[in-house]
Amino acid sequence: MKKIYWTVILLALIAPLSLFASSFTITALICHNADCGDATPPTVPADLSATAVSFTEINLSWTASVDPDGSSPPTGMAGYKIYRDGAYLTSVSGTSYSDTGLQPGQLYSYTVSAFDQRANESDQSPTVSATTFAYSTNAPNPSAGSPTGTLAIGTTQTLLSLVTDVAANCKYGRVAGTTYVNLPYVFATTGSTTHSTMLTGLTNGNTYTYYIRCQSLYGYPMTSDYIVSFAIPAPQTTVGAGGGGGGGSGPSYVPTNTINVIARGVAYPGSKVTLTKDGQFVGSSQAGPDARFEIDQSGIGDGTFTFGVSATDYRGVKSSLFTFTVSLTSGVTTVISGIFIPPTISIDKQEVRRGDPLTVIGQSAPQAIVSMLFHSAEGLVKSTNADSKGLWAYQFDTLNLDYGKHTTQARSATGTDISTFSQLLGFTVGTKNVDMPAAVGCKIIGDLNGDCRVDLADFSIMLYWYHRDNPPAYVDLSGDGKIDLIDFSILAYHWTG
Amino acid sequence: MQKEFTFKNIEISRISAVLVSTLFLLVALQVVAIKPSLAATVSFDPQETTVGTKTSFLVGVNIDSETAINAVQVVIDMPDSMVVTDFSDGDSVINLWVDRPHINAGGQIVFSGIIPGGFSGRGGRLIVMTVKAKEEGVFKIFLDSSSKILQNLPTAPADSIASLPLTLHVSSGRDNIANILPDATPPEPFVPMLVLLPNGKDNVWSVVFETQDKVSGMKGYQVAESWRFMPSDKAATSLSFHDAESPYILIDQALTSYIYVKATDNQGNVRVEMVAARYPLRWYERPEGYIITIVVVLFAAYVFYINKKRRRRDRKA
Repeated sequence: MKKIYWTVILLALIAPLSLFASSFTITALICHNADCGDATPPTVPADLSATAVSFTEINLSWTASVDPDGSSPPTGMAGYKIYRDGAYLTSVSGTSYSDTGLQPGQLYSYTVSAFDQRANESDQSPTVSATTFAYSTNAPNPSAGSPTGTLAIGTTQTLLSLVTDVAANCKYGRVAGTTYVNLPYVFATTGSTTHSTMLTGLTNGNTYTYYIRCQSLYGYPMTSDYIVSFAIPAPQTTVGAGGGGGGGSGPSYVPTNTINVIARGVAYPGSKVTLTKDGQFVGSSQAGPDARFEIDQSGIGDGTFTFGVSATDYRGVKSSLFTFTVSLTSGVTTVISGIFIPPTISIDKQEVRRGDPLTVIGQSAPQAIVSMLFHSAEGLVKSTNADSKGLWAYQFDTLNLDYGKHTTQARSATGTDISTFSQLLGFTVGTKNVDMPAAVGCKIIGDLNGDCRVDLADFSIMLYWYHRDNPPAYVDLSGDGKIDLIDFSILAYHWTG
Repeated sequence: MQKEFTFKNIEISRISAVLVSTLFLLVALQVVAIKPSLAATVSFDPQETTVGTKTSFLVGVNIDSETAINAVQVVIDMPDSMVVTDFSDGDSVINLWVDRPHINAGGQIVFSGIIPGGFSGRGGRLIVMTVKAKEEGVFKIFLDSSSKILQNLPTAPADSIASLPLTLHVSSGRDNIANILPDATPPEPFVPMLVLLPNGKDNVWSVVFETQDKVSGMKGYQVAESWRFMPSDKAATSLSFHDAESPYILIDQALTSYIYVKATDNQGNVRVEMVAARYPLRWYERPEGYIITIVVVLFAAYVFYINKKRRRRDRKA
């Protein structure tokens, strides 16, 4: 009787197991070391790679470690510790990291270890190294173009590739002598020293010749073509004769990674230039020594989009956003050129004793004429010249201003181009000097969550307080005791994406 | 194929610092004084038309602005004989909505939103309304004077607004042609983010999200929280989503769940994006884990009992 009783209980308890059979394996029934309280660390992160992506940035990625409980996704994992040149750098929860603020042309070594929620740390991964891009005034020197010769009959696609001696962006076309700027297609993978793109739509009986030019990331383009040529023979047939030949303009080819938008312009030498689409960050690139930049964005569908371009200067100060609204059509590359990023601007005092100088500094395009506008009852304009690195500074004599609150902003001009205005900065002319507070991390108006950006998260925090009583002062940007359209407008003005 | 636009905002020959400075001053003073010299214009598309009472028709609301504007609050007065049945924000220049288009208690159409970095240009689409006429006659749709447009400047000054009413000639028994484009494209990809929001003395975790649909416009969002990790397409069909607005305060404040956000456009196309669980549950912490643990313990006890019984029987034998 007792046996029957126990069997019934057992069956009743085991029955629910079948409900979860798809979610669990028998291994889940085994008490693993880590889950039983032992100090077993996660596995060592594998496949660590380091890739230099700019003069000052190296990207790291690795394969996820597994905590000994073996479930997927790993549940006991807490994160990864990154070591640079043997010293602890930071810890992250994901399997990639961008190390920024590095020195150009410098070799850096990295290891990564994994740690679980009990702080058990794995051994460090094998060391990998990468060298940030070095400044160079030379145009790229290409080599190892591929493919060459004759490809197999029936080849419909092939990888067009080459390497350059310095990091560069490469483009290609089918017309000889086309300048880098005017070449129609950008390599799908470019921006370092290896460049490749998939050619599709190839057909038998044709010879394909591609004219390639690259521009170093520091802005020096090749002035002659690098040619990659190959042929795909026609199949041998026994029926009919002659015919064929390379008639017409040859088969069309479509790069697999169609570029929708190319934004070109001038920022600051070596600056990081970012692109936003409808207010959200989508990509970045590095301006050359001449401050010229180009950002390509692909994979965008039809529709009207508002793009924003901004640059970060050598001190990490971000420019105001340069925006443009365009309607895009699939298959049509829209080139926006002539973008002139306004200069960055900073002042050394929040209050300046009347008669003492106010120092105004920033960065702009090289050799630009920078004009500062001091807003007062009359409005004063002062000008200075930026140096070859775009750096500019001006000592403003505050005797020109009355006591009270004033603002200043700047714009720059080169040749026939004039930028839009920079951010507006406020200061007081009074009876004492009060230095600008040292920036704690970053101080951006509208950065409500302190992540050094003004983006969707900040918008959402403001939206949370919209129509609510007693919003905190840091959200109430207009200081009128409520959150309304004015606060949202101020947030939009300071948007970084 | 390639289209090219070039920004050559101001042409100056023989640049000299003085000339440039003077030009700056003239341009800048315009900014400083915040003169609403060039009003933004809100217009309806079409501006005048003849419609019938049988079916609905579409009315676009557009904006033109010479100066950069970044915040828009539009209030539209509708005649009682017109009813708005639907809104579309497809292809709108507004990127982030403060108030999605809706009908307020007074029967007015209201919406507001921002354009980060600002917008200037002509023919910027704000929304499209689907309207149905209830009776014959001549009616006008006006922009209400409480509408606001703010300039893209640090202090957010108001821009002056010019507008033209829409004149509708309504005749009974006439069919309207509403050119509704077929839309098979899901909303734009987006990245939901976790944000801490203040809630009384404490902070609460919430997820924020926003995207656009460039064809039919956005219908809305839904959120599901689950400890299960699954691809977006499976999540779209197997999870129980409920309607949500950004910011959405999470039920699972311990952040042990994966958060799935489903964006749906006006023609039913969906896109699901996920925020990974920050502290995913271990197997024994999941609801089934407790049951499995109990079952294993009882099974072990049963085996022990059987063995003990067998040993006793063997001893007796």
